[in-house]
Amino acid sequence: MLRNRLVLSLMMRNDLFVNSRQFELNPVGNMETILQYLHFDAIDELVFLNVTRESPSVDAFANHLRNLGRHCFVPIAAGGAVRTIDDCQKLLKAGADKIVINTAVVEDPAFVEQAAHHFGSQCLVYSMDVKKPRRSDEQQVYTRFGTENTGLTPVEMAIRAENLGIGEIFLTSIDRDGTCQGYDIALVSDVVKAVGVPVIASGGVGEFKHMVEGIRDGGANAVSAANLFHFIGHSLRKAKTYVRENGLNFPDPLWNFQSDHKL
Amino acid sequence: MIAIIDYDMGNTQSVTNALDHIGFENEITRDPDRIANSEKIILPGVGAFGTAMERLQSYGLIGLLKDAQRSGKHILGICLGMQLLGTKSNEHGEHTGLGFIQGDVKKLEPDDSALKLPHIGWNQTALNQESPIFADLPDTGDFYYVHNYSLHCSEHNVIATCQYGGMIVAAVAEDNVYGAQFHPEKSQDTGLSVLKNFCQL
Repeated sequence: MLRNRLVLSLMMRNDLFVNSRQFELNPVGNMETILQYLHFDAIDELVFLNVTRESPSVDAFANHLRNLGRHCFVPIAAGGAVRTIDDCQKLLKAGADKIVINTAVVEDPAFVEQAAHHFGSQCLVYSMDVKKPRRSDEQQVYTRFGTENTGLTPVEMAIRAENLGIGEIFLTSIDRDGTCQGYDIALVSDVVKAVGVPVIASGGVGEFKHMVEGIRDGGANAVSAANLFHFIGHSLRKAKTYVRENGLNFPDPLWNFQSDHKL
Repeated sequence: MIAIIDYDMGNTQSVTNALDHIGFENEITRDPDRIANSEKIILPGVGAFGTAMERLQSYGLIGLLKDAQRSGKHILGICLGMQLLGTKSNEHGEHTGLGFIQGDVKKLEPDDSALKLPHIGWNQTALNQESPIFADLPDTGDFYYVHNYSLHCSEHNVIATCQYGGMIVAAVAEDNVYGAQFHPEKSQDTGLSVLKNFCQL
């Protein structure tokens, strides 16, 4: 039976890892600190994003990815500033298993179709950023780090992305991002019901129970947390124990520790 | 040395990271001499079946792989690399595979409409412990999958299965040839154990 996934999302701006609150970024450390404190053997998947806002370099990011990949034996979905097939190749060759695309899904649909044909839809993750504009009752999809309103609703955009050949949606509520109030469950649920591809809920985790809500109430296939303290030390084992005790089907928090002796 | 086939269609770096971690000399290559002189071959793969076979063809690798298979060299296909071991695929038109395992590659059709496609994530997989690549592993384990298509083949080739709205062939074997639909290089220690077993064949 397919399990739900606990996903860590890591964001990097130039050479520093950052935390985000409603897309305002604050540095938390460099590659060395991350490799020292994070226990990659305790997560089910990693989303690794280049959030450099001025002149982002796919090559420089690919080098960081190559370094990270040497320590991390779970799937890595990587992206940020991906615009061409060549960009995708660079990230796959550097250790990505899936490619994350955001703005290009809106601005260059022909590229997305081409990428889906070349790499297969299972390789493409659409990172969709959503917020409620001022003086509006309806949530809309934003691109370019949450600065440009596409004028499309999350459901409209999710269906459009699926038709282009996207294989998974990483769904972030900008309004909830970094607030610790929990996922926007109605948003997650609307998108999950609208598409046939898996959805990863992102934005807002403050307590373990929010992860349970994302799966149980939102219907997400995977839940992401970005705030690094969730993953430092033993907190991830505790998170997994918690979601399993709440009847959810996550990998055993200990299964990946028990087989140590075999290596 | 274990040759990881480089044909611009794979997460080759992930495989090399895994082999480095468990301590087996390896090289990402499409050099005919390096492949011919390797002890074992790993064929990774991310992408469409037809494009992958075209790439193997254009890099002159199909003959090399067939020679390796005939010579008894151990070969492991991963994900799309496992599907390429089959006879043919109907992904975007009909394409001929390497033919090391008799079987067809078809789109997943889960019998439960609530199940999402692609099949992405960790799935509990039943392992045939008599297969040497599952030596010392329990009879079930969690492995990471990310695919839309899967290989349908004769039962005697099947060494692992998982359930996703029906049975999926998770791993196959035919003499010296092995295939894994899941990603052992991305399945934590359980996956690394499978790679280690393969490297020690």
